Amino acid sequence: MALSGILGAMSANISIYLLLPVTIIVGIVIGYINYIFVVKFQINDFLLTLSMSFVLSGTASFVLNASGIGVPREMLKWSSQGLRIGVMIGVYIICAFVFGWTPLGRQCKAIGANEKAAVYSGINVKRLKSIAFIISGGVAGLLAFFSVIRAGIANNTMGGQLPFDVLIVLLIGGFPINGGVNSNIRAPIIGSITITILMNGLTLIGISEREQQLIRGILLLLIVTATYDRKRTPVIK
Amino acid sequence: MRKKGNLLKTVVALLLIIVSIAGCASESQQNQTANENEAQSESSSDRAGSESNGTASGDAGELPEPFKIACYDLSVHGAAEDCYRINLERIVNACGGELVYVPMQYTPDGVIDMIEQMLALDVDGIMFMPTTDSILPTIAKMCEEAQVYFGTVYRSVRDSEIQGILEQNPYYCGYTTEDDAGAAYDVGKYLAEQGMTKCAVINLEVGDVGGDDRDIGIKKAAEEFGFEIVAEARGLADAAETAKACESFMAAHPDLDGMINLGTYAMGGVEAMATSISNAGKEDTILLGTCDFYQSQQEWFDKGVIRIGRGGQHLIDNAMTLSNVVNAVIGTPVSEDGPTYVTASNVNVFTGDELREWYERTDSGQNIVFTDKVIKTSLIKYFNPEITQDSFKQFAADWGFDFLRSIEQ
Amino acid sequence: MKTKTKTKLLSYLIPLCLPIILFLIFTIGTRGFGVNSIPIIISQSLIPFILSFSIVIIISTGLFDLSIGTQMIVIGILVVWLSEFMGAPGLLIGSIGGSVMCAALKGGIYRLLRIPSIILSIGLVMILEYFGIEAMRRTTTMVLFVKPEVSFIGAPPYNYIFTVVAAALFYLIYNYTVFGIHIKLVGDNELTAFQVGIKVNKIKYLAFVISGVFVGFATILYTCYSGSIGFGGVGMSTIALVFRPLIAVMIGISLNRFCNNLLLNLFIAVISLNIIFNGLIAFGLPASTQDITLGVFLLIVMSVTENTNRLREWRRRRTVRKEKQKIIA
Repeated sequence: MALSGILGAMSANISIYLLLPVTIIVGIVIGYINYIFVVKFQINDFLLTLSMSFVLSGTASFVLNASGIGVPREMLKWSSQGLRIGVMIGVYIICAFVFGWTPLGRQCKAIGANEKAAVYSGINVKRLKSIAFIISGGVAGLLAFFSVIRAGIANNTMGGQLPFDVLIVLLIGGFPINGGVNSNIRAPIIGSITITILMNGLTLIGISEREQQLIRGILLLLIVTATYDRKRTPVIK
Repeated sequence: MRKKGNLLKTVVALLLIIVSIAGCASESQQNQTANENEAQSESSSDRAGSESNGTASGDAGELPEPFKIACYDLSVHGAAEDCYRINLERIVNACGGELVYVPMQYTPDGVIDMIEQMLALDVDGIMFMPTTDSILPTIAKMCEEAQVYFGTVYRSVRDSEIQGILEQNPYYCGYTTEDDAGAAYDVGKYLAEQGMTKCAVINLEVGDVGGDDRDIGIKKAAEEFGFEIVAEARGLADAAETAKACESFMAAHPDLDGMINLGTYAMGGVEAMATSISNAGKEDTILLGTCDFYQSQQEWFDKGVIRIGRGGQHLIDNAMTLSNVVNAVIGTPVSEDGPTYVTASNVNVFTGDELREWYERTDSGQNIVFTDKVIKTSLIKYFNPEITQDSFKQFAADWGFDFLRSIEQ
Repeated sequence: MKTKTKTKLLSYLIPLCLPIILFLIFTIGTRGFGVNSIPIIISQSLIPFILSFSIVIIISTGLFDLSIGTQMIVIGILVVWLSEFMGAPGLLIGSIGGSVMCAALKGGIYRLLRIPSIILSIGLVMILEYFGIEAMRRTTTMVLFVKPEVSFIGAPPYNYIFTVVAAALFYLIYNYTVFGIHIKLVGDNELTAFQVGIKVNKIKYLAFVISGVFVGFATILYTCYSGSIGFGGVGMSTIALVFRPLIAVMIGISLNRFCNNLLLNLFIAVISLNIIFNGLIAFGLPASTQDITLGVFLLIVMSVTENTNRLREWRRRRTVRKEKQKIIA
């Protein structure tokens, strides 16, 4: 997200209309690079995440060479709640449709449930994984776009805490950690609304940041304990 | 299983609604508390009334209308949190107001989220640290729409166009900053004068404005005073990592004769630097300096391992911005002509005794630095209409040992 | 027999090439890096080396634990406080005992909640950080210092002694005990392990406890290394402590393809990472380049080790193709 945002911001200083395509394209390219390492070179995905985070954050810092890259001020007008909500609804509808009503979505769930069985069923696992990485990279680029037009700047701290926040949101929303048949598109919406209401409510009450983290941790464990489908997962790792 | 999951989700949803309602209910409770504070402040100002000058209505012991200011969570200051909270709340309570807190954020996006949370608390004024200038126009617009006064702390505005936008905003109070680049420059200069020729630096992550400013300052000093920066490590997570970095510096550059901490979030980081130097037996050859000093460094100042510490500006930075915002909220802005920009002075510490004295007088325990007298004579114009922009700025410029020694407890 | 010995020697030499090549690159390429850097590299490798044992035990069982670093810091805070009253014995007993108790509690929670270990570990990081920061807030400085009369146990030769003891313990447990075999079986195929009569839940619980022992060893060295322990704040920043040892474990496991001695491979991996870190500092490169280099190094090592068979196959096919062309010609 940081690297997409930084390169996007650099292009925005050439033409403001370049920001969106550049952030998305950079995101897609990075997603594809991740795909190559995971599928072609068969690197463990968690290790890839770690390695790429070093490489990308270092590259972002190297490219940046400063506190941040600002974008033309007129772009700040693009940042509106209406646009963000509209795009969120649009992305949600597209993802819900693709995930729930197309062969692509069903095949993704099948791969998550049992990759070997999916291969034997004739599903082109590599192609689908490439699509998944590309979509993920593209969405990260889109997030970078919104972050840049909201803050007016791109720097290498963008999206720093996002990986764990997103994971917590998904888990609280009831998304299974290993994917599979129980994956659903409602989970991110439920989880993000839950967490946002909780955090804002706690702030309104006057709970300090560290106590909020404690509550989030306990809530995460309780919710996952209550909602985890143990019948479909004979082996809990 | 599904029924159990659905039941739990319903319970959680109800819980969240209750929490939100509780949050709203606590608003009215806080208003009640503010009224009680107002009553208390009235009685305390009656006692201090004989000390105040001028013809403000503060003279008669009257207080302004109750108000609320939002500030970032002071727990980021670690052990100094209590002292800062007490002193900053004194400034607000003295005027019949209330200070509320919101978790601190460090990323541009995060700061905007923090502002949204602050505005959701239905406050009259806010103070915050902007990590970058670019977010200020957005925040200015948000505050103008919400009719909330705002001031920034720790950072100046470097972009003149953004400064222009802010100055057009009737709710902008100004900023308080210290000269980060100057602080690093001074530390480099001092050590160079002590004989440093090759140094290694430890700094915050690239992208942290304070760290980047200090980087500029130290490079300027290196150019002017002829020392070389041979190695750097940035964004170190903890004391152990800092110790490793220092060992690596010393191993890679046997002729290293200086180390400078320009900034670190690693607790005990500077102490780890001092320990590494001491373990290597190079206390006499490697000169150690630090921007930002802490109470835990006393031993190393005593031993002469840390030669200079420059900092001590946290409390005054926050107090000046807060006072600036309070003045605006209660209708007596520091200057009618526009925002007030304050540069707080950094303090130099060279010995363990000086460090101990600093912490005895401020930053630790429940020290009261901003007494009623100080607040009403130098900070809040409501009680002393003779406060001018110049006198307000001079107060921050005078910050240091002399000021602290002059406070009557 | 001689061929066997030769093959075995060769299998040890291949992984050793990695740190040797890295060392040579940095020695030739920089001024300050060289033989004088070796003691620093080794002493900096000890903590991640010991932590990697803990991670290996957990990963071998098929589990995942990101809270090891947080556990180390929180227990470290406790033992520094204990050492005020009980001196060095307090630090030693507190580190290992406290870490084992914390790990046992973790294992118990895992058994009770029956959720994936990675989720459990994320939740525990958030909870443990709270307790860590609350404990530190009781101090006036947010940093706890270890007295010199206690911190000497983190200095040579004691730190080497601890490391050797931990390494010997790990080697014995992992290779010569029934528990070591069982954790590998459970990690490989839990269902099969259950069906052959292994008490899977007990093994998983013990894996947490045994890993706690090694975290305890690491805590001793960690608290004494810099003479202090500090805790900045919440935000799950302590998770980063587990990344370097985790990377070393992944590299070490990959090197198993060449040499079937995990202990040696872990040591090689940790040493290699520290050579890179120290070498880049000697180069005087900015921090951003250090990160890029580390990430690229990892990708290269993992790519090569995961694809040795494919590389071998590709070379074989190329040889066959060339021979075919010769015959046709």
